[in-house]
Amino acid sequence: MPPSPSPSHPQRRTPENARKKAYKEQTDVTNGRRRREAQLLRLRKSHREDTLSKRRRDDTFSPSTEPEPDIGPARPESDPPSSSDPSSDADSNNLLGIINGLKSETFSLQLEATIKIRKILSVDGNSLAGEVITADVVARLVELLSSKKNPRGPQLQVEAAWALTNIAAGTSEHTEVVTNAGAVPKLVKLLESPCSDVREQAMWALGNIAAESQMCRELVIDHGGFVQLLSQFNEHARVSNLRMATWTLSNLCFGKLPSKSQTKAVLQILQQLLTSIDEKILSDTCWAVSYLCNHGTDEIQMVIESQICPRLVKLLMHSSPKVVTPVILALANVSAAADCQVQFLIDSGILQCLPKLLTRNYPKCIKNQACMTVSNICAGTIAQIQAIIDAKMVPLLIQLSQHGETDIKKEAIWAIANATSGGSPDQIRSLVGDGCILTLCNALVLSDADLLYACLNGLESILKVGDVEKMKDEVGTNPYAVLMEECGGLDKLENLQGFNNDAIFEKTIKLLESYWVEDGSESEAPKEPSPDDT
Amino acid sequence: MALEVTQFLLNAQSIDQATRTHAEESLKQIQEQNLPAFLLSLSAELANDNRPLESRKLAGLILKNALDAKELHRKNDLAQRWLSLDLATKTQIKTALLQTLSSPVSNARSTASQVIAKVAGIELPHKQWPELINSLLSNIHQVETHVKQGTLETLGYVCEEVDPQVVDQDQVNRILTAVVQGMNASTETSSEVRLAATRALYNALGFAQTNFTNDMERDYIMRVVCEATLSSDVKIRQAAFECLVAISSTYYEKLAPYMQDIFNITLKAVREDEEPVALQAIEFWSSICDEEIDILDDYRSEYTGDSEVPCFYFIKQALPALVPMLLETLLKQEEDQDQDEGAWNVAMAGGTCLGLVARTVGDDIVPLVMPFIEENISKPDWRRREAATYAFGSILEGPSPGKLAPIVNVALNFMLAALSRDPNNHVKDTTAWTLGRIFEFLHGAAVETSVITQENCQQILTVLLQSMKDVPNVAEKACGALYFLAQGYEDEGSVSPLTPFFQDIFQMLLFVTHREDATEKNLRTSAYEALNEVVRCSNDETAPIVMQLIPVIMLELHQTVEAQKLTSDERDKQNDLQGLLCGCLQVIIQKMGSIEGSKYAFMQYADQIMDLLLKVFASRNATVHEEAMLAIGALAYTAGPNFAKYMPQFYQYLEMGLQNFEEYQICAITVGVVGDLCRALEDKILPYCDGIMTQLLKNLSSNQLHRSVKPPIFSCFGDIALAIGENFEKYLVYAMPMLQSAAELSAHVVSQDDDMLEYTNQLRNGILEAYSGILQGFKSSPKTQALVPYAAHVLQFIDTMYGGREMDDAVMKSALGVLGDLADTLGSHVGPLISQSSSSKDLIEECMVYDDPLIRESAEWAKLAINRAVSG
Repeated sequence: MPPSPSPSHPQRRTPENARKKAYKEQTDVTNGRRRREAQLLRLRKSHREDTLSKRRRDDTFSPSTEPEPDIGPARPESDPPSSSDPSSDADSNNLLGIINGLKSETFSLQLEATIKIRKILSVDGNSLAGEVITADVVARLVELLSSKKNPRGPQLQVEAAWALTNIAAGTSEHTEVVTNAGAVPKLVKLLESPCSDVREQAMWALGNIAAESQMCRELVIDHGGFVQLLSQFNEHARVSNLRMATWTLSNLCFGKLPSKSQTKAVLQILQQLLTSIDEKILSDTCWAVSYLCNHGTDEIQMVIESQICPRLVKLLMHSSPKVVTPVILALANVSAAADCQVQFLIDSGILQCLPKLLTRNYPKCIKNQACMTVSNICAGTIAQIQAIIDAKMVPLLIQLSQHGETDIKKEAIWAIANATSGGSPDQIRSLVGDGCILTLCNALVLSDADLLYACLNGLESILKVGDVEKMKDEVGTNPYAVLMEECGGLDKLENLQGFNNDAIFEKTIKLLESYWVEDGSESEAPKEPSPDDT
Repeated sequence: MALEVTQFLLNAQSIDQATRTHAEESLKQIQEQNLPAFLLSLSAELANDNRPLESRKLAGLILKNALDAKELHRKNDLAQRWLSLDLATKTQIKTALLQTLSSPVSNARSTASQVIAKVAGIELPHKQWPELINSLLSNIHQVETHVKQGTLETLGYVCEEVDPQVVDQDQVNRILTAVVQGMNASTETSSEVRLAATRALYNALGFAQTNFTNDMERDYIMRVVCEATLSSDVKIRQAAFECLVAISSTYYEKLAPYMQDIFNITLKAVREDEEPVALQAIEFWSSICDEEIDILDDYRSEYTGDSEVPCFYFIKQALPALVPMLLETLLKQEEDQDQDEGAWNVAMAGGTCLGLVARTVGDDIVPLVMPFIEENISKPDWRRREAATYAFGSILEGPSPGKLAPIVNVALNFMLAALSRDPNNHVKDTTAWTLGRIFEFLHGAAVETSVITQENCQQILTVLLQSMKDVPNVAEKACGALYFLAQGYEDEGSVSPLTPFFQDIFQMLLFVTHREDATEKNLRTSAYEALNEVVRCSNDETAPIVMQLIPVIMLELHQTVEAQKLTSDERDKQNDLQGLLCGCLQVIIQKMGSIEGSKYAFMQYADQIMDLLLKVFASRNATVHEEAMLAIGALAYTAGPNFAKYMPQFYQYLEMGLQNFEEYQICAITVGVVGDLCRALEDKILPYCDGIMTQLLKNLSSNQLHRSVKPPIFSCFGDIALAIGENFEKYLVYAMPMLQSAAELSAHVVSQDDDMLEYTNQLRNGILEAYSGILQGFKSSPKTQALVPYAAHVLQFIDTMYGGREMDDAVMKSALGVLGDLADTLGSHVGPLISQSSSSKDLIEECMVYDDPLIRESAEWAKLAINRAVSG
């Protein structure tokens, strides 16, 4: 925004400038480059046409005469791209020469050698890579990061940082060689470079280092990398720099940041980045948010206070899974926090988005997290459960609990169990009306003890409400107990007496005793007397 | 909740750097924390007459910059941002802005005017702020002059900012009424108001389409404008003439009844009025020439043979009086105007207009100008000699060579003598330019009787080369003249009369490039361009001499690459020089590559040239990169498959070029070079294709890349597929959806304007070239099956385009090619599909009888291939 010194009056559109150019003009002479380009374009066009018409004339294999063979193994693979390794061929013999060049005091030799090393490292599985990653080569590369005497210094810095980036991307040992060589402070220093290519490459290298471990991240932060990185986010930055900075920042956020003020500062930046239209920036921003949300309730509270939740919720509807995945991970984390924090999500309209995620063709991990978010919300207050019901999500959950993929199925059952356990009597009646009893009864054959216990809790709440109904009913039966029996729930409940878990065993017995055993006339007698039977 | 921003705004203009930075930071922070409150505060600041003018102006400027930007993306973002603000805030801001129009401080009013226009530019197309025009118009009836003035200024800016379609005719009528009344000297006494009204009319003219069709309304507007050209205030006169200029291009066909009056008015202004007014009066005639040249071009064009607007031949009718008026202006030269880059005066404008008149009327102008030339060309007063020469040079384009040649034959010796001996630099400058024009228009294979003969050629060269040692502006024109002289011998075969002088020419041009003052007046550039043209138009016979240039140019390039420790000024010059040298190498490489006997000898330099070019890429200068890339493209063609050995080093720069979105011309040129490399390397490009394709696909999906780069990228897909054949298979899954969605977009585009139509056709052509390349690349491969699923879409694309009827010839030809390629490569798999597509059959039949033989040829090919596919 700084007020640009643009003229405060708009330029009037007089044709004068165009005319001035026409004065004694020799167009052809002054537009040499455009003319040469046009010439090359013409040449190109005619070459392209030549190539095409040559092929068109080439009728030796006219398809009308040659029956189309089924594509099979008959034809050998096209010859392996023997020259696919564009860099190392020529260099493989003179690694020593390269290292000598690197150590030379002559700039052009340094640059040449650095480029060669970088290329060796750029090719996956290059056999020379191991020989290059030695302490003294890396140390020299780190030294070259400070090169500035030459007008092409920035190029050397980029190349050296690039090579280090590639090394840091390797094994933990490789990253350690880089950090031990003192690369971090020098790379941080490069973030002040006036050359955006240099800054970009330095960020990349730091991002790779930060990805290694919490110790590495702290190393970067301790050397001022954090502050320097944040200063990269300014309106003058070009998009590629912003992308890189966002990615590196997200890597730093992977671990808990040392101080609250740092988290705050990051959130301020992330808040702005969330309005970006660039998918890459958006995606990495959301990853950063999701990492932050992973660090605990303090961080989640700060995320909420930074007021980005509404924007995050909007982004759930972004067209790219690359954005939606981190967003739903972040929101799922928030949904696991305290009730009042969860309320922010509901207020931001998350319940309008989640059904879409669950019903449309999204990757499984997204659906899974979406379902988990729902079940977390179902574990909340009565008002929050009501919000779920109002959003007409219960039928959807029931459907997912029957037909969803295994993980999603489980999450849907969790959601229903949570809602029935915590719901008010009216809510429970509504849930039962939607068919929750069947869902919970069917779940009684699962082997996940926690989930089983939750289901039993849910059924218990339902049956309690059923007892109240019983009072109203002249016949005096618990209608929900009847429903349970009808859908085979009682049999499954009885089977649970054999389940090897004390809590579940006790809960099962409690249910059987409270709702069936004392009133055996209404149902079949239990197959075995309950141990607590008096 | 307006914030206190005055002090920040004042500090932001402080001379003290620290204060300024701090204030800018604070403002930025406020904006980031609470944009609505920030904008509101700015508008309140602007509206508050108790605040210092400096803070008010800056407030307005920041507000304006928060609404509009030059860069289209940013502009759209800002508009979106404004629209999404809450209604209450926007209303408050707009109220404050309108209120500012009543401020007694003229600068504040003017600033508010511009901001209002920006808001209007955003809101009116969305049908928001419907009351704006009315509330502005209600101000017009205010008594206070300054309110009227501010309001008219605002109306002008609003008209400049918004599209005429956005405002309904009723409001247009009232705007025009208010503006024209404001111009009327008999009812409006304030000259400030009249000036604002006249300037507003300039912008409002685009809204007056309907009003100009109504005789009464048009008469009234024209009368008021013409009266305003006679105002006692020079600024009003200038603004009124600017209106006339705008009318001449927008409403050419309505001008006939007024031309006599306008002629008298302009004649008086050119002769007697102050320069800014006189310049606009001349511009009126230049603009009429532009219109008539366009119309007459349309008349002559084979394509239409007609024009939407008829030609009224205003220039032809005015000729007997117009030409003397323009000739008079030629005598009003300024001392040393050719030394001053920014100079623009009556003499320059008059001569430029005379040139346009000559292009409009052709032969008719010659007898009217000749007496002036004959009378003045030998006068002792340099002004007379220069004016006569300039008049001569100006009329060389337009009249027929038959009419001019006899005159030029007489004048040539005189001109050559003047160029060597006239004591005045200005005269020599114009003489050299005139010689260049003679060579440009009266010499060359296309001209029946060239004025240059074997005999006078030597004399001409001697004089031109001699003049290259003259002062920079004269030397520069001499280089330009040599350029056109060489160009005339382009198709001369081996008998070019320049051949014996090649050594001398090169020597002199290289000498010029080394002149200490070579960076003045573009001299060095002109010398290199002349050198390039001599090389480009040379023939086999002179190839050995051209070859000798290579080490010379390489040495110079080497020196620029090695130069170190330059000041930024030196660096700029260095970059320019590098660009010129790379350009020169490109031309030489192309020439040597095209002469079979020289190719082999040339290749001995290829390693060194490549080495140098790679070093040049280390430079970060856009122009230099473009030139170096073009040279690489040329080298690839000449080297062929041998270029493969350079790829390992070159690849990184290729990739860098493809990634350069900001300097999109570099990206475009690099995309072209990928095509060159494909043709040169064929399957040897395979190892690099993953990287190239990844980047190209990225480029296509980016909305930051300039759109003009996208069609060549599609063509490039075709080039790659042709080079690597069935190995393209793995890219199909990415490339085909891109092609399909682009095809859909381009097939359904409703082109509102010619630019868009042209772009759409380029895009279509690129897509079709991609399809052709891919299809032919897979031809006779066992993997052709992989293409079958896409065939229906390709056909549908051609169907839709054919139905839309907006294909240009190039697209038509490519579409026919693709039809044939589908049949050729996929054979019986698509035979039935093509037979079902009636429009492809119609297209082929239609094109079989086309005038253009290339289109006929393509149609025949398509028909043949399809017949084979259907019967086979």
